Amino acid sequence: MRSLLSAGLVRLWRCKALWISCAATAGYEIFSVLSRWLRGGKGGQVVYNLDGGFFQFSGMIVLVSALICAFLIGPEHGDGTVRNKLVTGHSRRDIYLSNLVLSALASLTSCLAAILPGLALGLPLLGGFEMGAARACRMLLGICALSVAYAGIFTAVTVLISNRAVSLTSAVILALGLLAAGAYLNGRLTAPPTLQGYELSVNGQLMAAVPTPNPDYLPEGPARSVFQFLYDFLPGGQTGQYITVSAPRPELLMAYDALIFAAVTAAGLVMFRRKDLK
Amino acid sequence: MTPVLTTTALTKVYGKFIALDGLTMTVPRGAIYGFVGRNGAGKTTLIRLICGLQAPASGGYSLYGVDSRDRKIAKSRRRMGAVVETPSIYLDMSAEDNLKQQYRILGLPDFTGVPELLDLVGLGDTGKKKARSFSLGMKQRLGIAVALCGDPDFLVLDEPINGLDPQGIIEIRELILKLNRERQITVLISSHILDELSKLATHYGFIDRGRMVREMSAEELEAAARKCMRVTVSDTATLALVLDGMGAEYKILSDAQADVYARLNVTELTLALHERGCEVRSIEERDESLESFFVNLVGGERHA
Repeated sequence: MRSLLSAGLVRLWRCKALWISCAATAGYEIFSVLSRWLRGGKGGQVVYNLDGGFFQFSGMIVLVSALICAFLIGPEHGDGTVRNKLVTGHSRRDIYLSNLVLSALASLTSCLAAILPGLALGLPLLGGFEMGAARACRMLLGICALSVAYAGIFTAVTVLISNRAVSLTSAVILALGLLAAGAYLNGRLTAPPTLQGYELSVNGQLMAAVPTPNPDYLPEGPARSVFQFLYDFLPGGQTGQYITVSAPRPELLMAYDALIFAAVTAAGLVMFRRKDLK
Repeated sequence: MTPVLTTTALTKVYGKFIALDGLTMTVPRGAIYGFVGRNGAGKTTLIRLICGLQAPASGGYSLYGVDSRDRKIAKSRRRMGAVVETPSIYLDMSAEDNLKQQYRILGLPDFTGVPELLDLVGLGDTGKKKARSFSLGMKQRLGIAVALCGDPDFLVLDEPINGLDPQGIIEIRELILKLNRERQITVLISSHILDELSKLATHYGFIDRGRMVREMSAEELEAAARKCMRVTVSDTATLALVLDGMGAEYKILSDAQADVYARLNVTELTLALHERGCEVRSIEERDESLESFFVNLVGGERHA
């Protein structure tokens, strides 16, 4: 296992996808902080603090994780270099777990690539977190846990799909699907009970119409509970909560991340052990 | 001496297709074992199984006497190197980096053997050139170098000369012979290019439809692949009369040609034919090729 990790770290260091991803998350975070600082400096009514835009990089982590896994693990299976590991006596479990560790490390690195310059620039320019340092730390830990969960998911996808192009496409589609699911769940949970329509009076004035019930609204009850659970449980939903700084209980989301990571890894290991490699 | 590889009733099934059907074979130490079979006969499937890429449906195999179901099989595999189908190399790395990477995978403490290995396979002067830019022959040689990283004493090569130009074929052949003679590496080499294999192999295994048809040494094959004299004469009817008189086995090919499967005194034969007014135009000694032996073995309607 140690030798696999040692070899994997060398590949990770040379993985262009990792450095491009780090540059992208860091660049986005720096842009976010600077743009808020510049807008705040114009003396408008709105006071900009660090909280608002700081966590938005979490929206990129899902795609970053998918791409890194596809470019790091995909060639191992697509070009057949995984055979060199198996032929020389490494177990499938060790191969899978070493890939998982590397993917998680890569995902965390791209998170840190956003967090560190964000803090370095944001703290002096925008001041501290209004939510408090403790909650900000919990949020950041939650994002790191989410990134590890994503690494678990995309490791399974890229290890189990041998074709390089298919594994890359599948990982990206899954990433977008998870984000879309999160956005849908967020939309349903935040839907207002009624829709406010407007009508034009005879003299041309715009007047508020009688509000109509919103078909997307979820009243309190089992359906809303299920939607709320899915929004908390699914990584796409969690991403939405971190982007909008609306995660009330990051600890719960971290527990779900641990569950997803363990379940996907267990399933991935079982399937990889049974998989016929070529 | 324990054979390097033994398979016992090895079976592999893909859906309804039986790729290996109770295959039993033995690869002796020090041999260059030519694994001969037409496309789809099950050669690559066997190699995938012994490399641990796939699991057999039934039956088993042993490497250096360690059974495939034994946990120690992983340790036995450390003594083998393999190139399965395409060379397993990192295309975005140079030849040297590929070997260093394999050294790391093997957990070897340093890279001192890398330059020697590169020289051995003739890639010592490739510098920083990425494997992506290598020719097929260079990639194949790099694949073999990667397989040799752990200093194995059993090398498995699956169709190593497929797609190579004549120069590449000669290079790979010489490399395999060198490894076998100088490093005493046992080589299992699968191929359907039989004439090429006949220049290397010390042992043969003929496989057809997932079954071992016959295993034999090169000496046995030489004895079995019958030598004959191809005689071209003016009249094969007269030739037949003379050969019958000599008690020789023969086969008439046309009005003018026949194959004679006996060691005859050429002068006696020529004089006997001359007495009957039959002109001898040519006599040439012929060996039955590995191809024709294989075709006879597995049936003429399918070819390797």
